[in-house]
Amino acid sequence: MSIALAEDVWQRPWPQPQRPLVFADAVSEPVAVVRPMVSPQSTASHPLWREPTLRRFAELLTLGRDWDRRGSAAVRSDVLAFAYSMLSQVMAPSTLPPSIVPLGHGGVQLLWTNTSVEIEVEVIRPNEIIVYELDRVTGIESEWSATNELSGLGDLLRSAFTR
Amino acid sequence: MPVEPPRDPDGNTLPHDHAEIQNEHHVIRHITPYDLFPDRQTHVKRVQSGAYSESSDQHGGMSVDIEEWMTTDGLDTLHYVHDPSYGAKRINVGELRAQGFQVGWDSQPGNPHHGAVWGIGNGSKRKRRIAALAVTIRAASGEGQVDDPGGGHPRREYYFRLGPVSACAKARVSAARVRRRFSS
Repeated sequence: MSIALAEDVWQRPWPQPQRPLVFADAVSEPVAVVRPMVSPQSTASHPLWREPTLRRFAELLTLGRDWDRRGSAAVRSDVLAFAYSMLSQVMAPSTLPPSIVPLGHGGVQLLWTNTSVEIEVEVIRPNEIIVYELDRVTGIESEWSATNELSGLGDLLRSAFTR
Repeated sequence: MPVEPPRDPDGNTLPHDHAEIQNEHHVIRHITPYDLFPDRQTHVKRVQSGAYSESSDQHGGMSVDIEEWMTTDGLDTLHYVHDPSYGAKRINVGELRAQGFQVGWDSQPGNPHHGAVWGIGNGSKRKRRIAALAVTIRAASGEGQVDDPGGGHPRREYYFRLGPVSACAKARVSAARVRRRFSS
């Protein structure tokens, strides 16, 4: 008798039948998983300015020396490559594309206008640009050279020419 | 024959103010369709200041024709503007010199009336000074005209052609047609 009682003590009770919904009711603890940053955040579509800008660049690349019969140099491909790389740095995806004209020395001029401001960027050669800004309201104009520091230009474009 | 301009040992014309190009004279700058851009407000194409840039030649200035010298030789102001799509601007020499630019003679093969404006350099500020002095003699192809307003998008083009009120009216008529079709 005593042995039987001792065995009952050590014997685990048979588990009770569980309600069928017990697993569906279970709620797991939320686990925060940090998304790995392997590259800068990007948009799903191409920037709005890219297609018209590349189309214009392709057009300008066809211009040879003295294309205007005014003695202008051919538009330099390294200038266009630099201009594209610069735009990629300073433009937001929805920034309006610039108007682009070729210059006599083989560089290009990029232009953005609206009712309050005009911005002209002259790309003379890679890493050599001059930014011109006209405040149309006050009439104040300013011009500065920029080589590697493009944040000022980027701020201007994003504030005035981004939808 | 005017006094020969100063030249470097290679024969390139050096920047100078030619004494026989007087302040009352004018120079003609050719404008190409590539110099135009559409104004975002008006959609009208106008000349970008880059049209007044110097050439890439050694000591190169901005290429111009000297109008009064051409007239003296019996030539029309637009004699050297061969391309029908090109336009031309007239600029007073005295006003250019007052802004600190030099205006000299830079004869070219086939164009003895060719001159140059020196001192423009890089950047837009000085180019815009010249643009402000320039008067249109002949518009380049597309200059002063409304650019394709919709950028090729037929609906936006339609909107600009009709104007906002007409476009709205047209949209209402279309909506009514659709409603009638689905209700019948």
